[in-house]
Amino acid sequence: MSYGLQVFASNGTEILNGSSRVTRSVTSGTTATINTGNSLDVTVADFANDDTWKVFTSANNMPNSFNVRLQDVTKHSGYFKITNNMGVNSSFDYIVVRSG
Amino acid sequence: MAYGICVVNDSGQTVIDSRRDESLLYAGTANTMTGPNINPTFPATGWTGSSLILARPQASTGNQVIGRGFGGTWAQTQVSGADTTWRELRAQSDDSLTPSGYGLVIYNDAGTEILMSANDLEATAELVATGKFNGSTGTGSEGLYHVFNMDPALDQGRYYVLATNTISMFGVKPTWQLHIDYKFDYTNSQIRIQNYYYETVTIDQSRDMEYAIFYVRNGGTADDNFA
Repeated sequence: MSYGLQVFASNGTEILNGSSRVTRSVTSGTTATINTGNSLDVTVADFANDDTWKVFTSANNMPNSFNVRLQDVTKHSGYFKITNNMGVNSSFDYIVVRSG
Repeated sequence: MAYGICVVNDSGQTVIDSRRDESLLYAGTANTMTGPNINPTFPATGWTGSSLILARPQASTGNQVIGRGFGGTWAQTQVSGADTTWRELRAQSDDSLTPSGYGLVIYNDAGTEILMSANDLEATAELVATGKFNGSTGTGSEGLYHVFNMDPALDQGRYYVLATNTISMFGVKPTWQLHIDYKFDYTNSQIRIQNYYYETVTIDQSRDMEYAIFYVRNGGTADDNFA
C-alpha cells in the first residue's frame, strides 16, 4: 500500500489496512419510558443525519401484537428521535456508533 | 490538527481520530447457540450486557434466519431459527487494556481512554454494508427488502449481521414470518435485509431502523468453515 495504516495480528494476518471501513463506539444508554405513539429526542454531540452515524435501539417491553410497526429511529443534526409505535409504553436501550 | 493522530482510509472515511472520544469496535470471541429455541436469552452465556451483537448462521445449509425474539431479552428466532455463531462487537475502551511492549496505542486527548491498541487487536470487523430497514426493492408476496451480495471469492462464513436491534420471529405456523430482519442465502451469496410482516398476506413495514453487515478478519477456524 502506498499510504495509510496497516495493522497485523499476532499471527501475521492483516486486520486493518488503508481501505478498511471500521466502526467506533460513541455513546449508549437507556431512555426514559416513552408512551406509545410518542417520541423522545436524545442529544449527541456532533451527531448528523448521514450514513456515518448509526443508532441501534432495543425495546425493553414486548409490543402488544406481532404486526405492529415497533419503533422508528430518525436522525437529525445534533440528536436522534425514537418513536414508540409498539402499542405499549416502553423504555429503549440505545447504542450510537460512528463509521466515518 | 495541532497534535494527536488521525487515520483516514482511501475513501476519505475516518478510521481513528484522537480528537474524538470514539474507541475502535472490534470482533470479540466467537460463541455458538443452537436453534430453534423459544425465548432463550441470546446470547445464552458470555454476553457482557451492553455490547453490540454480531451474528450469522453457524452452517451454510438449513434455515438461515437471524434475529432476536420479542420481549426485551436477546433471543433466537422462536421456531426454525438457524444455529447461530455470534460475537460481541466490542469497544477497546471497555477492555481495561494495559498495553506493553510494542505497537501503536492511541489515547483520547485527555489521555484517559484507549481509543485503539494495535497490539491488542486480534480480530477486526470491517463494515461492508449499512443503511436502514425501510426497504427499497421487492413487494407483494416477497415484501420489502434490500439485498447485500457477498463476495463469492471470500469465505462467506466471515460475514456477520448486527443483530442488536432486530426483532424477529419465524414459523409459529409454518408459513408465518414476523419481522424477519436478516435472511442468509449462501446458495446465491446474498443476505437479505427485510422489512415486512407475513401471516396470511405480506404487509410491508417501512420501519426506520438501522442495519449493518460486517466482515470479520482473522476470526480463526470458527469462521473459515464455509470455504
